[in-house]
Amino acid sequence: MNTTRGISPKYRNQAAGRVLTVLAAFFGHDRPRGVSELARELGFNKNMVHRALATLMSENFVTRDSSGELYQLGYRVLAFTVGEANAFDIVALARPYLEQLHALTAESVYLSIIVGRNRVTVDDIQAQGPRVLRSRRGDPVPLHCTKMSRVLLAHLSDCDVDDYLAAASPLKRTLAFPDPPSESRTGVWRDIRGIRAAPYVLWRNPHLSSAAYAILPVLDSEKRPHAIITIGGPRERFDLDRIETLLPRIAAILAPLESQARLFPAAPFLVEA
Amino acid sequence: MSSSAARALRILAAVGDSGRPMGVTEIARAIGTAPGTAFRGLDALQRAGLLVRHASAPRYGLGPAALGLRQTLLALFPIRDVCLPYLRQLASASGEATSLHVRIGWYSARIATAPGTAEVTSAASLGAAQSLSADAAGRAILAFLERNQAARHLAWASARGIAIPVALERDLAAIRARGYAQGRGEGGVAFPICLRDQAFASVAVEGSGPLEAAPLREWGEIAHAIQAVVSANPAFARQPFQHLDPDEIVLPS
Repeated sequence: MNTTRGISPKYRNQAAGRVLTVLAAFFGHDRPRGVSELARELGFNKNMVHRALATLMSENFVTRDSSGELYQLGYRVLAFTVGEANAFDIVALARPYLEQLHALTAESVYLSIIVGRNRVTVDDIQAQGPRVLRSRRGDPVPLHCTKMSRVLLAHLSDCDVDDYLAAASPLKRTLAFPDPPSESRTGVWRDIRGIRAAPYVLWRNPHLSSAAYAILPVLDSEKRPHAIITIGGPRERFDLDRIETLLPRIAAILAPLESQARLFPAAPFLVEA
Repeated sequence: MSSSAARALRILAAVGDSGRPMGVTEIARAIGTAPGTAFRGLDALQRAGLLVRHASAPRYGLGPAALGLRQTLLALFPIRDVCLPYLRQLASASGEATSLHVRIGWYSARIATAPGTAEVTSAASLGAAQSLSADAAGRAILAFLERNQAARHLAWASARGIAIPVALERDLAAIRARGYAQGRGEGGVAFPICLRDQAFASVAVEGSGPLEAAPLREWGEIAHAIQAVVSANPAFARQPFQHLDPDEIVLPS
């Protein structure tokens, strides 16, 4: 966004225009700025910039940085209150799509994110009926355990995966049911390579005969994971054949969410947690 | 100082603080000037993209440049990106809106939120600032500052006529003992985030009903996980205004 181009040089209130132009020049800069740098960028002389900064400082829109020599945005800007919450919140953003997926499949739908070294389900719509998939919202599951977790892990960088596996070693199994890939680094990496080869994962646990899943990542523009969406149900009515049939409609439902998600960076992965 | 520039900044502050679009007359009254004079400032602010005029009504709201500046400022708090996944986990576990508050001078300011998932939940605005002693989020920070800081805060608040909650010292001692702050009339609960035993932020579960031991333990574990991340990465506690004298910082609250 060019926030400065709207100021006309012929504008009758030139002093106000200059001050607002200098303020707008802080947009997108996470490092403090100096008088010379601003003057060069805006085409003002240093004296003009200095006076504009003094005006902005008097109203706390700009403050000196900790060195005392440069300038940064002031705390007054923080007090701008806007009715909406965060501009990007994956839970709020994904909710309508979870509802559409549940309406399409009539099965349980989950939204899960990375929190520390775990996968955590933060929203869900549970199917109704005598036999449905159940999963407790909020329970942390290590990123190497379960196919769902490993889909999130697979979309981290190789370096992040290595760091995670080093920090999580010895790899603990926290599950009551068999999950052989989670038992060794080799097994985790082999599974990750398989997951990365496909845009989504259809899965049923070969060691059980209960449920089948479609696991779909929601990624940012650098293919880092915001979240996964999982649709799961009992195999007698939601086996892989049925999921394959529904996939084009599932993809169509999720396309707008994927577009929106690409506009925002995913949260950083912090292996130390 | 140019009076036209200062007036334009006061208009920007008035519209920004209100959290809703304002008409010219209302803006002029808020900054103590004539509508015609206010209009010239509005013109300059519109040209800079800091305010926009709504097409459907003659009212002005924050423009893309102002919202961009606020996002730029929020990005100066590295704890914000770190906390967002945990806020979502906490919102999911509690059903309530959750938020991250940072200390700025003698205030706590809400810089990140995650919406609640329950049928009835709190609405939490970004940027809202309160005196540190005003609510649970601030008191969770105040209780874990050096003891003389609480006294300085009280002196600052008294000098500005800010009401001090009854029995604040006793409340702060209780917060230190149990490790979290409970809301009074305003409800909610907040956990401090510290670096080297000094709080610089807090994570709050916004106004909720009676508190029970079990969810508090679960919420506390999530807050503890954030604390562990910060302890391992002290750079996440970096704050853009910690070099300023807290007595000099004034925020609308």
